[in-house]
Amino acid sequence: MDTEQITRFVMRYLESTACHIIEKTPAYVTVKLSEQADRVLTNRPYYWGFVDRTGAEAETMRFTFVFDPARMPPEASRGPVSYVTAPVTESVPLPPAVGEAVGTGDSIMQRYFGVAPAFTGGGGGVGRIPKDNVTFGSQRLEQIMQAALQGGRYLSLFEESSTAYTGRGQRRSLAYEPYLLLNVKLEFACDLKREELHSFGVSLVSGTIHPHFMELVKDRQLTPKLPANVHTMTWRFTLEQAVQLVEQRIRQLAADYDMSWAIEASERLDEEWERLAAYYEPLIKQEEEAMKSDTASTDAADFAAEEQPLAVELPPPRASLDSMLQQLDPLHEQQSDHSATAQEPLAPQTRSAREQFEIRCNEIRWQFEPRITLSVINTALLHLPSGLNG
Amino acid sequence: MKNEKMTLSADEHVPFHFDRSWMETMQLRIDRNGPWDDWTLFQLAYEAEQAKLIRSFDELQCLTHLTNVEPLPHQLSTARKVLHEMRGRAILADEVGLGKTIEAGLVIKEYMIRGLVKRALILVPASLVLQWVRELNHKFGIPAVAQKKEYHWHSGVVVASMDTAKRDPHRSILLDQEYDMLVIDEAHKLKNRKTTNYQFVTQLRKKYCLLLTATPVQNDMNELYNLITLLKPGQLGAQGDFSTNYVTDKRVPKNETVLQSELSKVMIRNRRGEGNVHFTKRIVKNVPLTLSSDEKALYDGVTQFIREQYQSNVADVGSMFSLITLQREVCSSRDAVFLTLVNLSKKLAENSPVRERIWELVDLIKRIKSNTKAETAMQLIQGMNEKVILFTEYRATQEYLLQYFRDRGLVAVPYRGGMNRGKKDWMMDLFRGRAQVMIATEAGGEGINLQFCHHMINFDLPWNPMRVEQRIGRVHRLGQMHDVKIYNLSTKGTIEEHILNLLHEKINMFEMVIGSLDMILERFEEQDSLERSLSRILLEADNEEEVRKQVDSLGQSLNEIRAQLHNEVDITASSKQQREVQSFLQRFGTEAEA
Repeated sequence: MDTEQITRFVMRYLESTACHIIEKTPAYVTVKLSEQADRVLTNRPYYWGFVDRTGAEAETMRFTFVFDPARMPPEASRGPVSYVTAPVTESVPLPPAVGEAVGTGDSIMQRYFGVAPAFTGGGGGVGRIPKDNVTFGSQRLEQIMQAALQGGRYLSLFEESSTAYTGRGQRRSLAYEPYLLLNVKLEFACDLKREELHSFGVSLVSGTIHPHFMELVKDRQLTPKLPANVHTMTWRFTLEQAVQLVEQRIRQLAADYDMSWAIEASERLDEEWERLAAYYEPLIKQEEEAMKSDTASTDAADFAAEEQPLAVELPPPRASLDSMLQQLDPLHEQQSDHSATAQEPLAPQTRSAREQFEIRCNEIRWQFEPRITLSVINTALLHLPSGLNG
Repeated sequence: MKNEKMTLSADEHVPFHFDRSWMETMQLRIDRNGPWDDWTLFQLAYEAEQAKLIRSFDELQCLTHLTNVEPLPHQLSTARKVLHEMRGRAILADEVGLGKTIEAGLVIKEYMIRGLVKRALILVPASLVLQWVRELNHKFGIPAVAQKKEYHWHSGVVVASMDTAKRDPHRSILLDQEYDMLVIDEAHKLKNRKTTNYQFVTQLRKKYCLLLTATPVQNDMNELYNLITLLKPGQLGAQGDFSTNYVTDKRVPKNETVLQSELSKVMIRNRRGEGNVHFTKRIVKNVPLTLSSDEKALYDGVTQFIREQYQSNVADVGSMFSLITLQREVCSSRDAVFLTLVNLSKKLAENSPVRERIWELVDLIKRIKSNTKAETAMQLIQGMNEKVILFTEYRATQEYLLQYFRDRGLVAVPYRGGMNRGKKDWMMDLFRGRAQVMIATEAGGEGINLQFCHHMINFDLPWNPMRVEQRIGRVHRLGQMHDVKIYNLSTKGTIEEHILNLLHEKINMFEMVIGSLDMILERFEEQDSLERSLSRILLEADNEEEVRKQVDSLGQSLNEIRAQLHNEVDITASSKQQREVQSFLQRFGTEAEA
């Protein structure tokens, strides 16, 4: 997304949530948020909890979204240059917002605290409008995107009936065909990931699946209300069945894909597994042998006893692993870590080799195992004039 | 033929997962005919997904997401290699100053964008926790939090100190979790497999893992083996195989070519090559100054007082500390000494004879009318007429200088460790904007980056060279466009002169390549810290001449270590092995490009 696209995106969000736009330049926009936007964007659950419980009149925040940080006008100097040095000669220019904030007579905070101490989310003092960059990848843009996702998941819409049918002579009711629009993300993941976006439209009458359905409908005039002189056709597929059709389609789709990524990932997984096995199997064997034989007579136990008297009190498996690890280390002891040994009886510091092996195996499976996931972004019931040209 | 096999494989072996969690809600809304969401938001949600779509396995996505950092070519190639060749498990072993944190940030960011990392645990030394949090947030837009309360452990990206994490109750919390990404900074602290650190990290469950260290091997090839075992057990074979195949005499590598190639599968080391990553020069200027007779009298008085006190009660560690502090403060400003003297006298019994001695010293302070150092600093600053950061060790000196400069119409802002984040940022803004001078008492910890300033005054010198290096590192770092000018104020005939002589003339630390200082100190401080050695000399010496001699010999041993590290001087058998290990590391890795 470039700056222009982001600007359009954010503006559409602000407008559709009925935020009041105070100032708009190519570099930024300053708005007074609507309640809907404030609730999801400003992270003030306590404030909104307070408003909800007391029924107090809500005061939403002002906010500046910066599209192009490089083109922002330099900030007006605020405050003294140094609290030590500068005599406060120049009066700090008050941003217009301050006047307004103080002026808005009876906001609840103002009644209690005199002057409303900046509904700004902190930072900067009275009347300062918080600002944040909405560049691509920024947390603020991501938050707006998430807000859109949350606020636009389930829909039911009808196409406005076209003028030809609303003419005076036209009495016959027009049949609308119901479609299930499914916007989905297909993820092909191993230790890396690739994604695809699909938009399917399933006719709930015929069961026909239209690909790229979003493209097809996004410019149509759609309304949440059933238009006059229109009736909807009876469903012949349930939601469940429609979804099954889509899943089937996706399986077919995936079958034709280049799956070398998955094969390579499986091969990597195998290699990694072999490496782990080669490393752990001798350790496990050693450990089990040590367990079987009388610990006191083995070299390992001698070693352990010599190393740390505490080891005598330990249950055998751990003691033997400890000693094994010590044997493995050709340097034996250069510096012994006393904290390590001292804590041992309280909290076991090591797992058995077999447990470690299992953990590591789970890790590589988690890391490499190829998988395909289908997640639903949002879904809509669309009623369109029957006989759609897909 | 091949194609067929692939199709088969995909269908049969790759598990599909279909998300159906939404269906219940949809069915409910259909049944009740609502409530329905907004059409514009519906479209925006779809467009957002389009914009964020990861279209390819390989292409680095994070670059389009980053506006606050411009990675250098070697950092990008490192990130690519970690992602595509090492599959997210790697040792990042760049030399100091080449930006390992940036590389780790790039890798984490890339995985997060791809949705492959949601939970990350970053374990670092306590002093670096906040710096990491800030870098991840500012440079990478990664919402990292510093672990302070127990519930922080459940945040997405947590930065914590290793020492906290490995202790209960934290330890058991962490061992119950699964982390998509585990990052460990200063990972050379994990070189010994018997330490609690090592055992703890072995038990953590993680998908991807980055170990960051500038010194993956120091003394012993097994250190390297241990690190790699944390990352990928068995990568270099079992311990026995490793010793047989790659190590002669435990310390000296053999079969080097094979070992290098095995290592390159898990470790990346960018080295500072000649004419590559460009650091500007450091230009050091010592400004010697002569104390006025009043000031000299105070200095001598304090020195005398300290020796007396030390000889009369050797055992009291607490008062020894104050004594040393006094000795250092007297070189900084009279205000600093005054405060400590007053505090000292408060602790004494009413009738203690020492009280009287202290009041004598206070009288000496009262007699001082001018401050030679402050005057000199003032002249320096006026002379350069550019941004300058002035460091002092003492709060009292800081206050004094602020006052002093203000009285003379010079705009200065303070910066100290005790300020909260907001205030620190504000001071930084002021310094960047309108103030010519910043007076700072702290340099390390939270990473103040002052590339826009290239003058620095050491009003007094810390006795710990790392602190000096940290100070310099604030201005002399990647991104600094100018040569950095460092001014050291030192009063003739005082301990300060000796210290400066030690640091500058003897070990030439001000102009040293970044990173070599820690190696020298680490080696030196195997016996005792430099700071403590200096204190001891000071307290035990009978006269100035003796101090000079002792400091000289200290410098001598530092110099020897330095020479060893540069392979310039005859070396003993044991350090020869060390050298083998080090030079092995030298041959590993690639030179970073500018």
